[in-house]
Amino acid sequence: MALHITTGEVDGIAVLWLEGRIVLGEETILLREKVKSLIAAGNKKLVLNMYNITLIDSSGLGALVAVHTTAKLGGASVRLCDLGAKFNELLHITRLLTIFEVSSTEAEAIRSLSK
Amino acid sequence: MSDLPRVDGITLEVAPPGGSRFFVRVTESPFLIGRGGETGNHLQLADRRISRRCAAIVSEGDRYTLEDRGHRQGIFVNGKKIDHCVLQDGDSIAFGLDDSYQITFRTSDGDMSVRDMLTRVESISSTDTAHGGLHKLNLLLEATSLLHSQLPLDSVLGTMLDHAIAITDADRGLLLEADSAEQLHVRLARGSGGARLSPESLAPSQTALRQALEQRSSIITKDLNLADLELQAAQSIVAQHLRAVVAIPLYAMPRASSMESVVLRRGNLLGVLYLDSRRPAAFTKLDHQILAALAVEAASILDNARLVERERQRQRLEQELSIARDIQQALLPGGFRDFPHLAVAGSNTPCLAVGGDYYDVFPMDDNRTAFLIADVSGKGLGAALLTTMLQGALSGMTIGADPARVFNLINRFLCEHAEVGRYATMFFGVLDLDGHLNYINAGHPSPLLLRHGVVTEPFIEGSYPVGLIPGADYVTARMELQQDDTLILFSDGVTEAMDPDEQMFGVPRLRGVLDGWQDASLDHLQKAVFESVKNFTRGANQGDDITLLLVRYRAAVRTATS
Repeated sequence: MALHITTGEVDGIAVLWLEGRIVLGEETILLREKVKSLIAAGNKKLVLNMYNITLIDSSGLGALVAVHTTAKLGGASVRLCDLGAKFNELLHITRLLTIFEVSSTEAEAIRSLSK
Repeated sequence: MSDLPRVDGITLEVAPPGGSRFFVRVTESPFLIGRGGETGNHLQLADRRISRRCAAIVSEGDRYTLEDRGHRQGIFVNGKKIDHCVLQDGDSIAFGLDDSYQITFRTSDGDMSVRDMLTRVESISSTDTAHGGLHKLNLLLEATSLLHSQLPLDSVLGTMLDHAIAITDADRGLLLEADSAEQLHVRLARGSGGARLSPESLAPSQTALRQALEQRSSIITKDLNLADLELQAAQSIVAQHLRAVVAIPLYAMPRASSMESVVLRRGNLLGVLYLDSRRPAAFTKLDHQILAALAVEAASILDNARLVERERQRQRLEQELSIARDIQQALLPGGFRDFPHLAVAGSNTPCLAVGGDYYDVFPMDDNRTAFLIADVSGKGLGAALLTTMLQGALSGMTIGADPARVFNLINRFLCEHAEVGRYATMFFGVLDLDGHLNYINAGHPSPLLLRHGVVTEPFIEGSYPVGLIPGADYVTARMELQQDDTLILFSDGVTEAMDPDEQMFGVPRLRGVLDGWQDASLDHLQKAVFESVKNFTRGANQGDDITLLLVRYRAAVRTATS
């Protein structure tokens, strides 16, 4: 498994610190399941910290969109932060920057979700 | 514990002075050894120099200890005089006398190879004619040679079963095969004299089968009246008046060098050899050993057959994949015929047998030609299925459907079937004779434009990949091409190709390769890109499909005026 997820809570907001690669296979499954279970447990606000993500392939991108959709359907909101240049470019090419809510830092993401 | 005789119990191999070797099972504790029967000896030795109370083997837990019970010359284990001593498999016991008995202590004879068997059978059969030893030796020889013949598997196994029935004088025999969940299924059923029985007509004793599997060793009962209560009371045994049952589990041998003395470790369960009889069958020690040897052979045959079958399945799957690959490659536009106003070159190299990239070029009408590149998320067969579906849907445009509407439709279709879990990035363009280019960019990296030797990325207009965002709206954008403009469309397999240090090839490098070329042929450009990628990756594993499509606008040649 090339993806490691640590979860925690900051100011009542669930934060997922992602580390490694979000790529086709069990990594994408892990990410989707993790978010799904957090939302099922009643979390309405989630932050995905991408600082330690080294690679996202097309399936990983699909998984992130699925996470976003799951959250929306569950009445929750997800914010991404600390994207890094490569992921930013990927979101740019695929025009998905407009879909995700993005903050440059975790503190900023938490601030904007706390409003 | 169970008092069932077990093939892999404790056995003494007894070599009398000047006589043939024979085997004695250690069934009691203490197991008394000495001259004559008056003192209750279990193994009676006919040598007047040996004391009546000589020695005893005592079991303690799973250990066996040899004790000197008063033999005058002393008891020797492996040449060393002992008072008492824990016995190991293969230990040699002697009585301090020249030309007297020699006894070898054996803990496991269940896994004896046929070759071992044959040497033992040879020494036994000369004196064992009363039990038909020679005849049985013949059966065994016949069976083993058959087992290694080239006959169809079922007839080999059938013959093996017939021999097992003949050796044990059983009424019927079954070969049960275990599936991956270790559930047993009857593969073959035979009666005595080679009669074929239908598997359904037989109800093997489940209790005996279960015991054999639980103990991971053979269950052989000569007479069920004497067997343990659980087995005696078993339903099928009572209902069918069974008196004798043999159940030998067949295990795959661990694949280690057989020349080394490896600790015998049981492999996967392959099946069970099962025999039963309504008469109490008097299995001799020899029968046990022949059966055990046959079982080892049968297990190796079943094991080999299984490997062959797995290999066959793999080949079948590979064949299917190769058909899929042929179809996918055949669906690509083959041998680019040049269109009046544009030249095309393209290449698609999936990293697996089939891939998730594809490109296409097709005429919309006399004045317009469509070209596209698509990259489905993921790779392999799953992605390939979706590329084929996309190609079918997009070809609908040739009958006049509006491209943006087709994209909207495909997007809706994929979002409605979200469980497919895949999406595609695409660049789709329609170029007419005058160089007007209408295009839709669905989340695909911008194709590069090579104009007068200068490379740009002009196709920034665009929408989401198809199949990702429900309700996404695809619109057509427009730009003008000049004569000899070249478009380089690529999948991310090109720009994300990695070198051994996991650095990506990247768009800047791709631009660098193309920069400066003015009059190069499309084939030449294509080759330059692939070579550059190849040099960059230095043989690192190709992680994604690599696809390149080059389109050059030639001139406004009107078919009407040409």
